[in-house]
Amino acid sequence: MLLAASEAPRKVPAHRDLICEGDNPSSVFVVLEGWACRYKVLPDGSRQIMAFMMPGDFCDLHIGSLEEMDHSVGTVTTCQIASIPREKMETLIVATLGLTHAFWRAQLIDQGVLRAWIISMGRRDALERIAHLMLELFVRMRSVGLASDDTCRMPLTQAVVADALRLTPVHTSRVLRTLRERGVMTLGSGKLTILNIVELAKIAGFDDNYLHRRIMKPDGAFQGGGRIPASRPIDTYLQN
Amino acid sequence: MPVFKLHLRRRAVVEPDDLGMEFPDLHHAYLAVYKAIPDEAREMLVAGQDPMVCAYIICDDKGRRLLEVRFDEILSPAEWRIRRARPGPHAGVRSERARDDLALSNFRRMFAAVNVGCVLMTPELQVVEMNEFGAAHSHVDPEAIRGTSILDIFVDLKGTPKQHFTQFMSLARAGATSEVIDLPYYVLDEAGQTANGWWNARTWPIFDDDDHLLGLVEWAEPFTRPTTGGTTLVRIAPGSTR
Repeated sequence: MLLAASEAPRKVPAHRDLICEGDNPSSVFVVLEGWACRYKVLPDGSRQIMAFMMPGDFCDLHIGSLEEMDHSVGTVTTCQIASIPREKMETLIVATLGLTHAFWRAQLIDQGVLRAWIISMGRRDALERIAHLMLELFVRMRSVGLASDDTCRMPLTQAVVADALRLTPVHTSRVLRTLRERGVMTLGSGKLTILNIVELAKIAGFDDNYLHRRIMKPDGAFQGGGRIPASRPIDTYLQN
Repeated sequence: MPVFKLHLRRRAVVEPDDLGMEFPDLHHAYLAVYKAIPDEAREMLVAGQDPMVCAYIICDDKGRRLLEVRFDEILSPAEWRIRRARPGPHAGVRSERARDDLALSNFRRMFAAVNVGCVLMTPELQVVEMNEFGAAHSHVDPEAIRGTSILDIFVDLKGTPKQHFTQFMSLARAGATSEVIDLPYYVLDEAGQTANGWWNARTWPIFDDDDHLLGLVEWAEPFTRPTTGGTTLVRIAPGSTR
């Protein structure tokens, strides 16, 4: 139904805006391939990235209700993007209760991710922030089948990670080096490798509860409300 | 883009940067480090560490040391502002000498051991100090050129390159951060032999609190090949606020 409503997917090069702050939103964008981000540029020219979208993610489900964009959406890598015109989205939402519930849930999860980012910005230091973001992105990639047990493609440059976490690229580089030297993860050549997920989660203070649908908990096997038990190997912890 | 290694020194212990980061040039690497230091210092303080004993050492991808950027220099207000705010007896000439001595000692500490040519000049373009690298590449005696105009020390710079260099320095005298790219002149190649080469250089004006030009710092990188096709470009550096 969604496929039928969307216009033909188009290829968008990296670092291109799909829609800019101030624009009148006319379509909902869906990322089919590649990575995109939601961001805002401040008066001093600095950029704050507020979310990353990966394959399967809608860029802004609710946007049909607004008259004007309050942020921009742009590609981080080359993307395949599908567009669903605003009018068709409204028709779908009205006509299909199941889809409405799914969209609503997706929105709520997006807000959960945003809350987690606010906590990171407000309460975590640079090491914890980067560890948390990397783990979150890895878990999200795994849930859509784009990660192996311990590796996934990670096309984010240090500058992009810095813009997402309100750090400088130099500081980001040093923290990534620290995480590598501690033997918990490596990020380089467009690839993220988790070497010790338990330790990485400990550094990040990571609790996956805010990702909701993106992780399905093993039945009754979790202790401590979603915290990663120390002895569980990654493949028993993360299930598609 | 060239890769610069940013090693962090805490007192005598150096945390090496084995991967490095890409920047268009040393100036951009310095600016990135400059912007990073306040936030990193804040985190160090929260963690109970002392940021004032730290410094970033910027090296090129061959490991040659280019610049040391100390946290205490970035985080402290300029010492001469504090001195000027507290005039002691015999203020005036002696305060100016103290300020000039401080500028010279800071220049020597920052640029003495770097692998780029650095020159400290008066607003009238007279050379106060040139570092060893610059003197070697320019074939000048660093002691003999003190007090000489920067426009007169490169004896083999003639014709159009001389005009470009004069224009480059004139922009700086007018208070802008000026830049010259692919200025043809002699360089020393990897074997230490004099060869025809190209220079990329920037000059920064130094102002006091009353916006008077105190002096100029130039740094210049030699290349054995042109970096942008060999056509000399003189301009106000991107990002200059004047």
